[in-house]
Amino acid sequence: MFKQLMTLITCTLLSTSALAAAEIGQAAPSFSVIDSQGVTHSLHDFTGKTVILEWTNHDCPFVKKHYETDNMQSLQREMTAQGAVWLSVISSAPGTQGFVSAAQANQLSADRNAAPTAVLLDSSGMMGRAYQARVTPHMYVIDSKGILRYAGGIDSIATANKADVAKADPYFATAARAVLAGEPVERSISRPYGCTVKYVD
Amino acid sequence: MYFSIYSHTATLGRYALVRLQRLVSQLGMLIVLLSATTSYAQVASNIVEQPQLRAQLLSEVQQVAAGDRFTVALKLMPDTGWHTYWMNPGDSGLATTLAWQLPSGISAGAIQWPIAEKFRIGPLANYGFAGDTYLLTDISVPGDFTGTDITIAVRADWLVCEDYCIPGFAELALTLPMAEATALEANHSEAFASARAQLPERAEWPAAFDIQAKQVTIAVTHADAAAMAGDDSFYAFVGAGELVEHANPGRVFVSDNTVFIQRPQNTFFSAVTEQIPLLLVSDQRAVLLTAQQQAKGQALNIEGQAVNSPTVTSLPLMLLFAMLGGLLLNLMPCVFPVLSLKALSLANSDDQRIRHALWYSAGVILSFLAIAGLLLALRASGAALGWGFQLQNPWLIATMSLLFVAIGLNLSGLYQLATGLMSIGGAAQPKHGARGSFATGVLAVVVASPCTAPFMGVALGFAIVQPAPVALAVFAALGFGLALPFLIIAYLPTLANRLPRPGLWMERFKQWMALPMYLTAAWLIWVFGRQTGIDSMALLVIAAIMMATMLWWLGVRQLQPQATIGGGLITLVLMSLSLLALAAALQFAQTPNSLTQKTDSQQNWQPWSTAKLEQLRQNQQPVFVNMTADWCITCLANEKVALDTDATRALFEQHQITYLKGDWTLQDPAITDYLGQFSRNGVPLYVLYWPGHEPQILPQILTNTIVREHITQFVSP
Repeated sequence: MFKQLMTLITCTLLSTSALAAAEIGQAAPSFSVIDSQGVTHSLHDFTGKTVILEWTNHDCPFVKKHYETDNMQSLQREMTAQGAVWLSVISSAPGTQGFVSAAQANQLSADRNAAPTAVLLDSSGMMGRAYQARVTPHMYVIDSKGILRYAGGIDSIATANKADVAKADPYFATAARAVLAGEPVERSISRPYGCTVKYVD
Repeated sequence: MYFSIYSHTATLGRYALVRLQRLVSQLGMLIVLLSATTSYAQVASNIVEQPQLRAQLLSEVQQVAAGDRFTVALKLMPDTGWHTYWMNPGDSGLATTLAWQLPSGISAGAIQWPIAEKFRIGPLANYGFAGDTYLLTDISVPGDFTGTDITIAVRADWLVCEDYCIPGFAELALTLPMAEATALEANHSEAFASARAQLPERAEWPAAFDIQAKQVTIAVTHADAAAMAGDDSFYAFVGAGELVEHANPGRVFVSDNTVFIQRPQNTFFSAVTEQIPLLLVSDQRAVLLTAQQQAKGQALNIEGQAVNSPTVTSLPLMLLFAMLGGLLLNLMPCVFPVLSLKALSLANSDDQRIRHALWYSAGVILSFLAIAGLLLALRASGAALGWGFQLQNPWLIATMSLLFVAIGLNLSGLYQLATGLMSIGGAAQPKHGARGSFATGVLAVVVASPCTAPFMGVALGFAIVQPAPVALAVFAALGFGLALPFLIIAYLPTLANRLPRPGLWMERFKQWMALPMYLTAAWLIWVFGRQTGIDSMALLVIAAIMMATMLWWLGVRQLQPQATIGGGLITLVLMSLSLLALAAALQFAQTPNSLTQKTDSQQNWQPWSTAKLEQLRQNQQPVFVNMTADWCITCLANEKVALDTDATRALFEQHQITYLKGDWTLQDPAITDYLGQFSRNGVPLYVLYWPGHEPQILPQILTNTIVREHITQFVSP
């Protein structure tokens, strides 16, 4: 009986927090995660700025699709140049695909010529679960008031084929540009496609 | 050659492995390209080796006649532990795709997907196939086809995953000679037989789906579906991406011949087609159906009993709370002294005490069941058409508010109640035998009623919305809780000495319990005020004051050893004054349209009427209808949270939506009819009319987002 009670309470808490999470038009879930430079970042540190979250796993073929075509890096440059904060988040548990040390994360950024504001090391998966991040790459746009404006895939063609990057409708980039321009986002949710985030069990 | 490289690579590092695999796949491609260019009959393509998976194209026939249709299979052979994906891959993954290159005139059908399996990965779920998998496709050759042979070529793209995923592809081709008659390829009959054994049955069972309040409800009406749903292994695979959450199994209900499957809407839901494939799987059967989206405004209403776990886990919890509630009743001052007396006599009695305790418990539980039975009978006879109907009656509201004041004053200790009943309880006590104990149990419930009634109210309110077996179980648990101390003492007599002495603490506990009663009375008086106007409300307050004075005087007289005639007269006078004020309150009740009276500059709605709604709809204007009542807490909360908000006001203004509000606080037949049109017999009801669309019902719990989503779906599809 006690166990059932606890399960029920836990499920209730989880489901209410899950409802609160990743809801477009609502406040984005807060987080506090250390980055690869040893700095802790919280969502409220960035009030007044557009915040972009990119879930990543450097060994995932879908992530490679967008890094090897320079699509991801050019989006990072474009958005950060306009004052957006770009956080690449790694939620892979230790020992799973995509998990990296701080030094490896910095090396990866250098090797790939990536330009995020910071790389967050979320190996506990707390931040990923709060945002219900499912895959890599999974993209989120939070406006300057902390409201979630976009959640979903990076573009419209769910393949790992590099040739498709140029053909796809860039859902995420379109949404991010609209938020940066202070305009409403037309498509605020899309199918997130990619590799499953390797959460700790 | 492949195999030697391949087995070698297993011992190498991961980076080296990936590089070698890439090389292998490039070699494989080269061979495929070479073989595709040479023209000779082959009923099977080469096997293309890609990382973790080998692929091959097979033909069921060795030669084809013009005008015939035949089947080919893409055979996917993943390594052990690896899987490919179904038409809806779930939370991640990719469905295998086939791009056919066929001679002109020849066409390929859709993939006939085998029965899917569910794979759980952490908090997520995927649908796909482990082990050798055949994806069958029908190829049609037109009657006027004139070639000597045909080459069937396909590019297959897949994602193969274990914990991590590798995309792969193969270009496969086979060539078949044209002939007078189509002939089967004997070497492939086994492969195709096993492929067909993996296909689900196709059925035309009526199936519909509907999205309301972020819940997707699917209804399948067929006796066989109902039978399948009874199986523990039953699962519904929804063939549309991002419609339902995949990891959450949701709830399944069975009513006669209809299965209702309720699943939370996917977080990343954006749109759905009118028809979706639906694969029902149990241990016995797998059936593929097509489900149609319900027309807007025609919500699927779930009926029947839940057959899967969530209710099963919450029922024990309900019973636990009911039992704790019953246990708490023992602490009430009208019960506890009986308890401690009874407990002591029980502890000191002979070896019959367990029998006594059991009979006593039976009496208590049966009394509670009788109360529940009465309630259910009332409900069944239609007397209780829901709270709503009763609370529309100002008489009832006024009487209830006075009753709650009276209960509160009683708990506060102003006067005593049912002392006569208490003495009956005591008188029954000395009786011996089973019948005596049983009667004591029944009487304990009666005796306790003055203190327990408010608590019972909560249980009654809960029970009225539950199916009969649940309601009965809850009341039985309540009774069990009340009887529990006796049962324990019967088995452990020494505990009786450890019971706290009856004392002032009981009195204080009871007095605190008065607070919720007064608050309930305040709410009822407010509702009455909204129904009848401020003058009548003042008269009701006067009635309450007169009644309170009368009860105080009654309490004073209860303490006097000798009742005087004068005192009795004063009681009567006070009671008359109270009743007079009550009658006046009801007599002077205006029938105000409390909604139209309010002239708020912020008001953005107009009162609802059938005529106005019709007129607006004929003018092709979008209309939002809110059916509400003052006694409906949900309605008020929704208005506060989602309708009277800046966001929603702006939204209505932006889309020029006329906001009509209907008030059902007092019974209004026009509104009752309107609710009936949507098969409702209560409020809240929110309906959105958009020109050119069916009226759409919004969920009963609103947020700004829900309102916005319902409106914007028409604006930007």
